[in-house]
Amino acid sequence: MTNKTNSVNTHSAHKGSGHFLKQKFSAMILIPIVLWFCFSIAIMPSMDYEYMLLWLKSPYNYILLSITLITGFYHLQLGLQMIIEDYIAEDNLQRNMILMTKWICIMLCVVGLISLFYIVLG
Amino acid sequence: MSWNDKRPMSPHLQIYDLPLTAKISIMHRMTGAFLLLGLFIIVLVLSSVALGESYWLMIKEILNSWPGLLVLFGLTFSVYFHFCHGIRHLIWDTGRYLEKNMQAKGAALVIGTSIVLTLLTWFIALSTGSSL
Repeated sequence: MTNKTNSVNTHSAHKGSGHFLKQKFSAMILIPIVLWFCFSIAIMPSMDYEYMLLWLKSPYNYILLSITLITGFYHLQLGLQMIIEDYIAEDNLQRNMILMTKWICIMLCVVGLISLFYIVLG
Repeated sequence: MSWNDKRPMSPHLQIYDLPLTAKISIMHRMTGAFLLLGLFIIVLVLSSVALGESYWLMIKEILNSWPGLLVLFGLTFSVYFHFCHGIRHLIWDTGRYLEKNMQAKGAALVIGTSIVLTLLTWFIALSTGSSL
């Protein structure tokens, strides 16, 4: 709190409503995916390789999976940011942790999407 | 030094028995954070399948072990819980069901629905397997 002008606008006082709306819209996109997603998790451990390839190459599954990865990681990042803003008071640490989780989410999402495209096209 | 004052103590977060509504509010955050692991596992599965059969078999073996299955089970519950409680939030955002007498009912409904959905999902998945 020593230098107010230097602090990045991670606080809700500046971008609170935008964050709120992003969180709500991404949540609404995820609603119709939930049943399919949980069922997919439950059948995942019983799939052999050939079946897994077949399953992933079905348009229904790879389209929903891409939406899950993009919207899911987006929603997750927003949520983690909110938790960090609430529990980490120190400005620099808070900013760095938000940046770190943001990059972890982006990188995991990209790895997931590239793998998925590689499987579907290959 | 022991506490022998009989007078009621001021509520303190570590010992205070929070009402159900407060407990599930915290659970909403915990399940949300836990889903980082969920999406990480999805990415792990996708990248292993992309790398080839032996990699997938390795991941499959881990997922099929009992700690693996426990994590997957916990993940489906977390998704359903976060989903049900999230819908509760979205309903609140429209200004409905904010009355005090609705809170305990809503909380019980969220817990009940997420448990039923989790058990139903695993029952259907395990009885049909990958034959779908």
